Amino acid sequence: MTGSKCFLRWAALFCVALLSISAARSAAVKAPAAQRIVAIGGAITETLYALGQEQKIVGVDTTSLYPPHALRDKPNVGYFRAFSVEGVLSLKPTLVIAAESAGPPDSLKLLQDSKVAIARLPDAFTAAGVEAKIKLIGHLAQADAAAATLAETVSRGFSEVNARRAKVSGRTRVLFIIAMQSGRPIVAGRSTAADAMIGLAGGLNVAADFSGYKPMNDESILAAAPDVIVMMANGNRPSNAQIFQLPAFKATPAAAHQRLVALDGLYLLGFGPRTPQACEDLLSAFYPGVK
Amino acid sequence: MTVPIVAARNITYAVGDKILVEDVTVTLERGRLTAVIGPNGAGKSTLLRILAGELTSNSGNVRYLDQDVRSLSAWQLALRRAVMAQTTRLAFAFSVKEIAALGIDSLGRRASREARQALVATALEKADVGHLADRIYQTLSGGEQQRVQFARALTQLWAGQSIKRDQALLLDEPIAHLDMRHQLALMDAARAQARDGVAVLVTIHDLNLAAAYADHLLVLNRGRLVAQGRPHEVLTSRLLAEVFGVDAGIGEAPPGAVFVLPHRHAERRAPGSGTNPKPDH
Amino acid sequence: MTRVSVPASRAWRIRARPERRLRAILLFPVLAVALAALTILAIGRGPLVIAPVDIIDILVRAAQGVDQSSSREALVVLDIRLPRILLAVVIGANLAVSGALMQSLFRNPLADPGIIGVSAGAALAAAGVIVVGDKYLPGALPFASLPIAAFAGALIAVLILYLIATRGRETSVATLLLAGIALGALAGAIIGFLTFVADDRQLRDLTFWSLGSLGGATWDKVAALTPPFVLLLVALPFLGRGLNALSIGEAEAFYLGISVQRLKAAIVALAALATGASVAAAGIIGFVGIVVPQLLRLVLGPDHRFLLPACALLGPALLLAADTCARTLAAPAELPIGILTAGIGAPFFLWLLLRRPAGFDT
Repeated sequence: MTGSKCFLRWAALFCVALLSISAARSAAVKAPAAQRIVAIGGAITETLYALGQEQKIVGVDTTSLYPPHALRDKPNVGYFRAFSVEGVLSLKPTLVIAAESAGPPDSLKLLQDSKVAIARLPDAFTAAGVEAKIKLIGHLAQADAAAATLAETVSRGFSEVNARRAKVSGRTRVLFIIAMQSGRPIVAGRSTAADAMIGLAGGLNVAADFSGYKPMNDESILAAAPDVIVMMANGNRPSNAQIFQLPAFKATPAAAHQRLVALDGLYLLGFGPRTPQACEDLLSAFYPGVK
Repeated sequence: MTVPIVAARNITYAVGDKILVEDVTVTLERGRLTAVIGPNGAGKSTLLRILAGELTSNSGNVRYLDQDVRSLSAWQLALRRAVMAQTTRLAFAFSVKEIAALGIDSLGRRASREARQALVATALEKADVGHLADRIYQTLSGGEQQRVQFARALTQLWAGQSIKRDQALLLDEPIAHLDMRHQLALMDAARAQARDGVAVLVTIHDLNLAAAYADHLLVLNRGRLVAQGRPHEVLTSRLLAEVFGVDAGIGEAPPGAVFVLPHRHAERRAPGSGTNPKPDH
Repeated sequence: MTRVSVPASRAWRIRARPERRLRAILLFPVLAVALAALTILAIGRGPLVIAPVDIIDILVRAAQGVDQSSSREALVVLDIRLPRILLAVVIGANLAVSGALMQSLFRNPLADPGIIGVSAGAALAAAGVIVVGDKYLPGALPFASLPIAAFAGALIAVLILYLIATRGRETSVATLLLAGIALGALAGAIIGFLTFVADDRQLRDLTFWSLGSLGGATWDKVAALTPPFVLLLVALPFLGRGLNALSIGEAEAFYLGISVQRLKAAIVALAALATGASVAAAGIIGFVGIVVPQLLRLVLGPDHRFLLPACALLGPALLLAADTCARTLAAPAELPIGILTAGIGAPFFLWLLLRRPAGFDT
């Protein structure tokens, strides 16, 4: 993940997306047919459903875990970093909406060469990024009005979070664990979706000394003294007791007060329509007293 | 007559349906140098490996004195016989001295360090590789490597002597890669071991050396023992023609010693299995 | 007797330096001191700065049995650094000695401790637990479940290979090698499939598991690794002679009085236990098992009676040095240790291949 990129790039991509879609639309004008969209990226699928455009979706990727029935109802084109070109083409899409990190590049190029309209959505881990993403997806799916409403809701949600965050005094130290196999914590540093979420919820990422998701040294975790541990709830995550027994966590304030938050991965890191709610949840966990 | 050191009775060995050694009965006697001759593929090395206890015959048995070879463990066998195999490829850069010392490392645990070193040095001298003692084995020529292996076999034999008398020394084509002087030197050394009471078995392609050194000659052809006895009794023009498929004159220089003088290839003769009298690998 | 004369300039190259034994006598104290020094360094260095006086104080009190559970420094020294150092020592020795054993068994200096299917079996079991276990096993799995599965996978893989390679009462080393390659390919294919069906988080787990790390060391892991390690150390004095004989060939080793089949079974079992436990605890750590025995053969010669104990000293020293770098260089993040051992090991290995004189291609 590349993290929050500058707005210029985001705007440029927006233009490119609009251009490619205008080409697709002019074709649609000649032969007015229903849109057939393949969504490659969990947040994209989620947004299309939220906009009430699910009837236009003809295929999704394996990370499209919300709403839960999306993967049951729609054909699966594979993992978004390694989707199948032929699988996508066989669905005869008029439009492919893919996350920035979707790939591999060769597959995307192949799709372009086969004259399928593709829109790439940048990963922008900000409130503005989420709103822009919703509007762009809405525009692509010819649901501008619904998108405007949804973006408005999301924007309001973020404002509420901001208002709550303003009341916070002192900053809770947060450690975000993305994987914990064999008791070895892999931790979110800066320039990650997790780091952005911690920031939005008013926390302080104690692993901001490095960027990306990396294994963190046991005694550095101890030295960082996190107040709260955040994890993803997916799969068989270790129990709180198991984690707080480890030497790296035993003497942290988090262990002392048993503070560990586990939330669904896509909800927490998807930067989609539910993100303001996820921020609220985190904020409540970080600052229980702040209403 | 005393019990032979090694006695094989009616041994047959087959791999799949290919019979390599068929119904062979031989004995290795104390103080006797036995030479095995025969064309390529006659079963000479297989016989030697069966006698050494490495291969187990399908039928028949091999006894070391009064014990069946199958009842002896690897180290018990190592005390009773030393073996020099045809070719030995080494995995790591051992020195000549270290290779020769393997013979005593396995057996002579109780001997002092000095005694062991002296024994290795003597064996190396005996094989005329004393001057190569600190060389890396892989850097030696084929003949030199063969002499080092001989030295190793001697070391093992002597290390075992402190514990067990009545030993056998089994040499599989020990002179294949040697020059003439070292061929004679090695055969001399082998015979000296026999004179010291060891039962020595040598597989060999040079019929003249076999005739000159052997007390007892075994002739193998297609896995069967076709003749045995004293060299001048066994080596006849007819046998050479039948077994080796060559036409050769047999001369008798001093009484009792024979030499072979090949003069014409015997293509049209009743064929033996082999046609190449040169040593193989 | 005409003697082969060797030109003086070339002589040193092809002679085993007669002082090999002397070198061994000198090298052992040097290695022991180096390992001790590295241990002291490792216990003193870390992202959290603790004064040497305090460390000594903590250790002395711990030795006296004083309860220091309330001290953060004591926790770092006693529960984080110390088990990790011991883990590095044990795993370093396991890998280096197992590497030497495998190289002797296969009579090939390039054999790796995982060659008998240990790594493939462990990786397959780990991938299975991460991907399949995640879906079908209920509730929170204890941290120990993955290492236990990996260890079991390693042993099962070795057992299958051993049974395939053993006909009658004889194990064919060549079949062992070939079957190992086939089993590795099969395991790779299944892991590939599991990777295909894995989700984002499982993929990350898989990747970080296979990179190898001594992070997350606990006294429990040290305790679990101790029995195979002790078994290996106890067996060492009984293996040297047999391995030396095995170096000149299986038949020759038998002629020299070695029970070859028993030796082979013992080597495979010891290496499987030691490597399997190490891989299970720390993932796949490359090159220690190849580089350490190679380096020591250059210095000491191939005599296993010196080589194996030297491996048990240099292996820990190398891994401890690499791990100390891994946890301090990029602090607070950690470099995967495989990167460091391979980073040191691969260039060394290439250099070794380049300077290998002709005639050593066995």
